[in-house]
Amino acid sequence: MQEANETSPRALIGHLAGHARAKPSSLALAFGTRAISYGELWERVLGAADLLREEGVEHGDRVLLAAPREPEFFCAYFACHLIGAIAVPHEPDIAPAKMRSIIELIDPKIALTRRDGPPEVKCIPLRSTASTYAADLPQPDEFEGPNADAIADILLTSGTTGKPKGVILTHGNILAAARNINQFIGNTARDREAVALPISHSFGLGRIRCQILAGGALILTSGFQFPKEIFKAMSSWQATGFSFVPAAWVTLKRLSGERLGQFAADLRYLEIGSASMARADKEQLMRLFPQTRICMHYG
Amino acid sequence: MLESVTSSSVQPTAGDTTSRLASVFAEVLSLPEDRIHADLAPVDVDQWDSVGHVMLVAAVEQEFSIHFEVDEIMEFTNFQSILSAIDRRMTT
Repeated sequence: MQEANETSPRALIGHLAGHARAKPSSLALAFGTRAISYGELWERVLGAADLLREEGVEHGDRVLLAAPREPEFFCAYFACHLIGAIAVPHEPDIAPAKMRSIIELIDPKIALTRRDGPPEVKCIPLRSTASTYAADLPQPDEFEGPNADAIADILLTSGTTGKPKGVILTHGNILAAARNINQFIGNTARDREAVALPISHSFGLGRIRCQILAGGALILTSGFQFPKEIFKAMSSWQATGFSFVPAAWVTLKRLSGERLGQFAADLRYLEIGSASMARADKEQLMRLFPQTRICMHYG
Repeated sequence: MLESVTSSSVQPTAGDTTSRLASVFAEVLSLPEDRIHADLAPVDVDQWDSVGHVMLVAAVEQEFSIHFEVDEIMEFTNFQSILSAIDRRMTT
């Protein structure tokens, strides 16, 4: 694995700040027809951080965070890192009973939700993270980021064999993983990755972290039930990468045949994760994408 | 259920097809039938995720003994769009 530069930021949020300083007009997020640059993303992260502080969130507090593939999630997620709070992403349309078990487990200070939440925790709308920012929050050129051993995220397991459990990740953990994966894939700042995965899960959130570390762009698309919308976004924003899990490939084939192959000349890489893939599916991808780097990692 | 569907501008002549399709939706997506209407879309139903969508397509194909082409499936965005595809198949 490549060693981190001594002077490079200790946390992913520091790299985001660095991109905002070095290339503020470069594309960070594409969502529908909206383009959000690194400069704008940083401003919006500051706004979300200000909102969290107004709500009493402090260093070390846990923030339960709905995670739709929407810009507001990115603002809130990185705002947690900015102020030293711990982000706890969860699926955006979570059932009330599951929400309660998560609250019992996590004891969050606040929840940023898309729907009304349970009374056990103060809930504010995720969309309200798009506000103005206070002057005393750090600007990109004066920001160092949290310590590597500080807790950044708590990821929730699916709870398929019982109640969800929390997996603790430090800033150092997520930065090391993102560096390692980027080296494996060969991600660069020129990449634009289409993401249709749920980003409340480890793999989808990992793709976010990897692109932000590389200074590339994320194209946030509809879910896999809408392949036409995915392909439209990939075409409009000139995607160079696409990430999915094996089950999503099966879904995509059922709903769109081999249409993804139309992007064979444009996609520099495919990133597959989270589970093993059938040999026939791998061979099909190799046939459809003879010149694309097809990467797979999980476990 | 049918009243709810027809009140949302579903073709009145499609009554039987509409009713059968609504039954498929209710079963696959575990929905009460009074929640089903012409504009019902994945954003309205938690269970209508990518897996639910595949299950829905399979169940509709089985119910109506048809096999959709990929071009047709890619246009499925809500209840009405699936109903229209079935109607086209049944009139050709």
